[in-house]
Amino acid sequence: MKYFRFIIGLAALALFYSLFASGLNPPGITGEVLRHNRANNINASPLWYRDLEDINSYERDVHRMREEARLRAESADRN
Amino acid sequence: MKGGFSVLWKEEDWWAIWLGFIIIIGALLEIVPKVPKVGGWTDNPLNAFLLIKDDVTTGNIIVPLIALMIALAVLTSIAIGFMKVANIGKYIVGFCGVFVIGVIAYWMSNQAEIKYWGLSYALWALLIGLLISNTLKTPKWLLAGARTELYIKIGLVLLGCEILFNKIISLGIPGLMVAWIVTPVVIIFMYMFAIRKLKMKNKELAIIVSAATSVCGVSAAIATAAACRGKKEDLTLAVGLSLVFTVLMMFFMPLAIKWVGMNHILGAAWMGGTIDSTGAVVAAGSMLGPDAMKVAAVVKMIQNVLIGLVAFFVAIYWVTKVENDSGRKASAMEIWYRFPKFVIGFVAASLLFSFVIMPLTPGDFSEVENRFINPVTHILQNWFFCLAFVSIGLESNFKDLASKMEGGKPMILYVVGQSFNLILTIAVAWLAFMVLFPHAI
Repeated sequence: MKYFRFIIGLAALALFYSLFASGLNPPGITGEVLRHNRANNINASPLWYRDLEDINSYERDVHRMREEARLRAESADRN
Repeated sequence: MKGGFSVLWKEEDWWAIWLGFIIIIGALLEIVPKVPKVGGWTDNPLNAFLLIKDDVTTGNIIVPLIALMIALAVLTSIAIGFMKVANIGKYIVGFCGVFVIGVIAYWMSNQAEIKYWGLSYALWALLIGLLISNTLKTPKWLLAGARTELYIKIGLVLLGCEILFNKIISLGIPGLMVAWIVTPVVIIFMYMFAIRKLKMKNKELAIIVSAATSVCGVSAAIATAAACRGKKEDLTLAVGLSLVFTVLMMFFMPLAIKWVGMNHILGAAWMGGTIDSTGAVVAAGSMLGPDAMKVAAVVKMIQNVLIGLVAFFVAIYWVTKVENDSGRKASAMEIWYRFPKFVIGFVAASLLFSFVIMPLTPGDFSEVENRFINPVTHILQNWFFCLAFVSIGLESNFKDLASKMEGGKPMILYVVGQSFNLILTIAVAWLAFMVLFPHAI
């Protein structure tokens, strides 16, 4: 009996998994983020910042954006 | 010291510190080789185990994975042997079983479509474990390798290497305001709401859900659960709630921001401060453009650093207030005795990397990250968390989980807390990025 329950559970898990792995897409606007992730190959599964391969470049780019914003503000003040 | 110095080799907390620091020192001395991880795949499941460079297969990771399994089994069995909590031979056999399930969980999570949905290894590790425990009833040989607390604590000591305090200034004062002012307020609000309004009896579950909602989902839930010695079922519930709502928020927040025409940097800060997991933050931020994506990710990163302080203060609060039911002030010795010692290792690793290793290493910070953290401590930390989630699943059953629901109170707590988080974060982000520092970025 327990093996029967296990097989049923395994089949349910496999079905659940293949539903998502098969490229299922929610209809209309609700699937927009998923289509965007697929088009841009965005991995939405990292749990922690270090799981992101590009986090160091994001940090550098944000630093650059802040520098540019500071220069823009200084230039606006001078004018 | 209560129990004498023997606690140093008899208690799990101390062993988590010793093993964690053996790995850290090994990484720093560059004697620990690059740790293997299961790769990604789209249509061919075997690609997850192949090393592919420029579309050419250069090898596979089967042998490195077996070597990793043996190395981790030997390393952790030293602790098991000294603590005398299990037969070493049986533990090693069980560990190998848990490790194989962990590999399957990683393999499932690394499929391309699964990644787009944001369904991480934690979900699959829990589900496989729960499937086995609730149908077959986990066999004893496998249960012998399910050492949830030990894996979590070693993983947390390794996570300490990534709590780098230089990160908190990455977005200046506005970033700090969003990530570091809102978060503690939300944790306190949620915990008070759970205890005073919802009258939740399970205080551990209340604080774990509060930390998961306000800091960074799964990682914060793990750290807080270990700090307050929460039950496995508490952690499972909090992680389940966080994973489900993270996907929902990733789907709907960027649409709402675009619909109301909100400033994209403001929207990015809002999502970075509220969506639980980093991957979902990046996916949602990317909907608003590349700059917004980077700002959202950096806000999340600044918030991630809070996890160390949260774990530390939760541990202190628990030993001085919650577990101290004598009505008198606990003495320093009592606090020390009850304090979860692995938190010291967690904080020490963070301080070591933030204030010693980083300043002493020539070049920029990424040098340290690329040499020591990314190839070794980070991957091992993920392996230990994966083993912990498999173990939790193997040791849990649906009846115990249902008994923790208290009529849906954890769900109410999450929804109310997250709503408060959304309102407070947008208010503070608007104040920081639009009013006080409009030229910050």
